[in-house]
Amino acid sequence: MQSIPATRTIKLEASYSAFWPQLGKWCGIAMLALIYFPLLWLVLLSASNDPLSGIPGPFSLRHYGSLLGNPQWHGPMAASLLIAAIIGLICAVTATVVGRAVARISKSGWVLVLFVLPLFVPGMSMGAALFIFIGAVLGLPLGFWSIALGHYIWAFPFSLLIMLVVTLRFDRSLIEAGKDLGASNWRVFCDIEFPLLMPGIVSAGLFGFLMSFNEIMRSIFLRGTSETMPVWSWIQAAAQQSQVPVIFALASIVLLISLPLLCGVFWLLFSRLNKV
Amino acid sequence: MRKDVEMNRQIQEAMLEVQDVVHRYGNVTALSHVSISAERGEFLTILGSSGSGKTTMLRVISGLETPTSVGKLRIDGQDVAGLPAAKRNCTTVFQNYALFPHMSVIENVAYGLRIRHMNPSDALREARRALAMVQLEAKAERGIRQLSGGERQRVALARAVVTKPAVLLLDEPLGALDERLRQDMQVELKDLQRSLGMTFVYITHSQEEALTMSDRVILMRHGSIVQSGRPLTLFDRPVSRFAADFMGYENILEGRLIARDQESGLIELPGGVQVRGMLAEGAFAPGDGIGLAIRAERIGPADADYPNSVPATVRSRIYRGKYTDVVVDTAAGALRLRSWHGSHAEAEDIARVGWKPADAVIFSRISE
Repeated sequence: MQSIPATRTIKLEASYSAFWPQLGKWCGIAMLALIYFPLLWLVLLSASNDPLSGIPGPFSLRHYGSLLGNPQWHGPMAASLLIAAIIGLICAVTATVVGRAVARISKSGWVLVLFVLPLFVPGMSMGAALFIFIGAVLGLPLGFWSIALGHYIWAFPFSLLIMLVVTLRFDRSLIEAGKDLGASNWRVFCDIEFPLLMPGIVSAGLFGFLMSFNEIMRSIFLRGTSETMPVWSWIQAAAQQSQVPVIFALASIVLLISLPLLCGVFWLLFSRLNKV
Repeated sequence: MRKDVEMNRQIQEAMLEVQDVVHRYGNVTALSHVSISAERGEFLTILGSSGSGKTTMLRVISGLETPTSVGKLRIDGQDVAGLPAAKRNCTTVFQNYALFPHMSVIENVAYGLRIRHMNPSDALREARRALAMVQLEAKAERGIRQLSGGERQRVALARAVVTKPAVLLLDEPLGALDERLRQDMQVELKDLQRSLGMTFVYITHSQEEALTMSDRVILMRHGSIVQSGRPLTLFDRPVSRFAADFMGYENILEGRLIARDQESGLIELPGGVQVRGMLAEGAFAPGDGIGLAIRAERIGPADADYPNSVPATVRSRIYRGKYTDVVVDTAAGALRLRSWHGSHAEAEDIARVGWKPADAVIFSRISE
């Protein structure tokens, strides 16, 4: 009987070396840190006396106070909220209508690509294109509504994609069952389709809201003299040093509102949906 | 006069009348001039493999599919040809059940009543009664996802019968269930149908389900009716090669009719052997080329003096536990035998095989 040598070194191929998973793990952690550390730092600094020092503390709500006392951002914020609300609503409705239709096309691949392409059109190009189209071709004034149009074009593909998560897996036989039991088309929609599509509709709306609320690139082209909240922050950050701490506070507030909203969308879409 | 009365009664009794339906999907003809009817309280089964048009037929009746053309489409005497599905007095038990996932069991069952504007407490009471009928009263408040396949099947059934439709359409409702449950449900479905006195139109690809439950079976293929009749007639007297094959006849031979009487015929098989068999429905005249179908378990080893037999040599034997499958070569072609006599039949040599004339069916449509 031959005994196996106790210390036999197994030489693995380089690609299977234990080094890679380790590297992957640490790279991943570094990436997460890179994403979340600045955000966390921002929130901490926004509640510090001197944010520009880079070191949090001593903590105070001074800048939040001066943000509240400063009326300058109210206009842009109101504009942003209003546009976002309108875009969210329109996105919810149109994504539902279009999403249901796309789900009924047997070969929806190309249609889908056409709808989703705006996601990959550079914001600058889309902004410039719309700027020319609205301003020069249509001769309409730039401002609130041109921003809204730009935002809608930007947000709709996202809303549609989210909607398709729901409409593509909607079981069409439920509609037939409803009709078969005597329900009119309208009743079938109200009683069966709408409740089952609801998570998608709400998510599409929320996503549309967020996409619009945070948009800046297209707004810069289309705003004329109007200001949205991101545009205002950007102008402030670029121009006046003294305003910057206030912007940190504002950015923190936006972050703390956006993130839970986004979590809500995904919870609705992927957790709730599977339980219905 | 008497005949008129007779006919009137028949028309009154017909719960479902479909005449000359044609349906095409693009170039594909799913239904080609099909007519069917079902009487009050009849359990009618439409049997066929996938692509036979049986599901299309059901959807035409329910109104979920608008046929290319139809001569007559009446449910309980009412012309429904132009009516949408929602206005027809029939409901469907769908193959995948199509239960509403956002409603509880009782809400699903009560849905059809709610649509008919029955007041909520009556609707709930009726729904509960329907659930009791399928032994699911205890699970009324459950969600659909909490139910097993068999339970969902029962909910779908309760939901469909609660509105008391003139005709209940069932689209392979047992297809997704396992063997045991399927057999139990066959009995239950039949009992339910009998106690409700409702007309059932049942779609299946299983000849077993067709045999055990139906009053009448319609066998379909390529959008046309191949044969229709009582289950036993289909089982024992298939009229074509396809019907014989579909009903599970393992042996189908071709030969020539030599002589016939009212019920049976004498035929000559290739190799010159003459045997007798029973005539299925169809046109027969001596000299015609005909088909002969015999089930494997109806053929056995025979003595030389047995009149209905052919010389044979064993080609293969497979012992399958409960029975032995034997393939023999004869002048008329290969024949499959199934012997239930246990393993000792293994060793037995077979020189001749034969069958009773009553177990052999002669059919005329050999190319269909």
